[in-house]
Amino acid sequence: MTNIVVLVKQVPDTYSERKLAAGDNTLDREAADAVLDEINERAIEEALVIKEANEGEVTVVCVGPDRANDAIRKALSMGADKAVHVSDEALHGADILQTSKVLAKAVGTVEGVDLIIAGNEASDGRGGAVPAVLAELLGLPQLTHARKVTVEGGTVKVERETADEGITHLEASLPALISVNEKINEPRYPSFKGIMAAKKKPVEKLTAADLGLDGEVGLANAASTVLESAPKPPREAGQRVDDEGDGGVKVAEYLASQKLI
Amino acid sequence: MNLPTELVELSAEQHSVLELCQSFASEQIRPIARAVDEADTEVCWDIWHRAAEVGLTSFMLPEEHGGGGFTDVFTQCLVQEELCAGDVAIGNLLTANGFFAHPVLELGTAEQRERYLRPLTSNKPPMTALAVTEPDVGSDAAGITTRATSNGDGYLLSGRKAWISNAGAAEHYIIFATVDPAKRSRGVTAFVVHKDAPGFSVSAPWRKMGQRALINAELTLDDVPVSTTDMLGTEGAGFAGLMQTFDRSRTILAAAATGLARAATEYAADYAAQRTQFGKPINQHQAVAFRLAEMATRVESARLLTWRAARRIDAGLPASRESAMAKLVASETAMFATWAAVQTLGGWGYSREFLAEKWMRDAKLEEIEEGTSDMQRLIISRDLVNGR
Repeated sequence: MTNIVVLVKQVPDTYSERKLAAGDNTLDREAADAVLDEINERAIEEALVIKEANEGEVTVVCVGPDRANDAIRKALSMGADKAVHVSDEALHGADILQTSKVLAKAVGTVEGVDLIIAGNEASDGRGGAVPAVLAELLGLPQLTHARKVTVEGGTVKVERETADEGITHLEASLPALISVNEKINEPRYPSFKGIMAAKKKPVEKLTAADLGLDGEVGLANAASTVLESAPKPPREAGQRVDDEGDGGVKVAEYLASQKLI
Repeated sequence: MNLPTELVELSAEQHSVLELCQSFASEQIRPIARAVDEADTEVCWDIWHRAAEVGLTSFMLPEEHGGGGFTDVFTQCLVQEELCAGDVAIGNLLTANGFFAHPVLELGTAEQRERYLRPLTSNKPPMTALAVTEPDVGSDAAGITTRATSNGDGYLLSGRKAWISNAGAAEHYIIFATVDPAKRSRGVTAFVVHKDAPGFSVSAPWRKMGQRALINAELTLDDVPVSTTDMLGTEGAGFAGLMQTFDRSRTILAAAATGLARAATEYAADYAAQRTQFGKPINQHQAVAFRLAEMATRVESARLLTWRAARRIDAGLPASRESAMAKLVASETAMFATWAAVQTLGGWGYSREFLAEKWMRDAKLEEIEEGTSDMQRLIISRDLVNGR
């Protein structure tokens, strides 16, 4: 039996134009279509694979506005069993530390958690720190950037992959927290039966006050805020290489000068 | 894509279904469309099984028999448009068991419904087929010549069926036969025949202009024995069941044609935005721009008519006229939009490197199957003359 919590986030679709709101430099949620972050689909898939092998229950935990309900429903349609949704206007502008605090309290409402699975980095804020902060707050071992996960008995083994260090093999006893990268798996489609079943699955709605965090969270209390933002500058024209019999050499020299080879 | 949700609000489940079908169509269906066309008469079991895992081949069957429970025609139209925007022939293949299931649900007993439909909702469902058309009988379905002769315990079926989709691949076939040709429509009766029944044989697949993901062939029935438990409904009940099936199937085919027309329109619009001639994108040339405008307008009209027919069927209202109108407009829109896509792509449109020429071949079937455009006009005109 492995009871698993999966952290999910609704993000602006990467295919849309993503913007910050003019007033307070927080995410402009109206500017783009909102979707379940793709890395979270992989986190859910991993949780479902572990559940199918070991039994147990998969609970989705989400912090976000009411419309994040769509992202939660997709997770439930894929096969997660139930959800906890923290939605509160007071959370507007929450930073990484606050979000992690809220998540820690929300995960605390789920009984008997053996494993927490997160994506390694959301496609909007790209802070990539929430899994580590949450593990610290909960006092759990953290096994981040996993490209392969194995749960056996009371332990979890992970192949951790980062650009700087290559591949590291980690092992911890449960309960533990892992974050997964894009190579972990190919997520399944939600099925028609899953879509119908999701209607009947419980979604517990909580506010900051329900978690005892009233007055501690939100933009005004955030440890970090965005002071200024500017659109990405337009891409500069590329460098043209004329092939006079030495085109291959020139391309290789360019790549070497950019430390790409 | 821009569905008229101001007119019909979609449920959360319908939004989820749309998202699923869009992903499946763009990731699984569109990438294999050319290869399936080139393979000509090969049954594409692989996509069939992948679709079944997601529930696409049985979503329209009732939950009580293990199906997805989306039994309304409107949701089936939402699904059909999305799948057929990926590829019309594959889309029509994946949902074909719905056409088999309808007469079973309309005419069958509780025991027959469970017996014939439960296997269709398994993880590895069989294909099925519905056989009405004969070499010399098309739109005049009351003139069916395949005979059902009583032999005491049951019946012996004899005759030939033409253009049967999934022929050779199907496990079960619903055969429409007559117990008495003199009775015309009142003699038409539906029977279920297993592929291994004695006296039952299937020709080699016919080679077609398009929609090659659907295998079509001829059936020969030479005194095929069927028991009374394989008869759907009573003697003579088949024709009414068939006519109701047509209202539904024409509406769903209208959604399929709308999906195909939409694919062609979106593809042509993208191409025209990128292809530059005389110093500007060709969508800045009025001849091209106006053609794109006409394509988009006709797609939208086809969808509106389709949604209306679907809503009428789901509300239990008469819908023969509306389903004929939807099928007529949507299929002619598909023919126009695919022609217009080829025209917009110019030489590239004529090349097999692009899908436009395939779409144009695929579209033609929609003006013919399930009643030609001429037949749809006949149905509409008779309904006008007789009043409703």
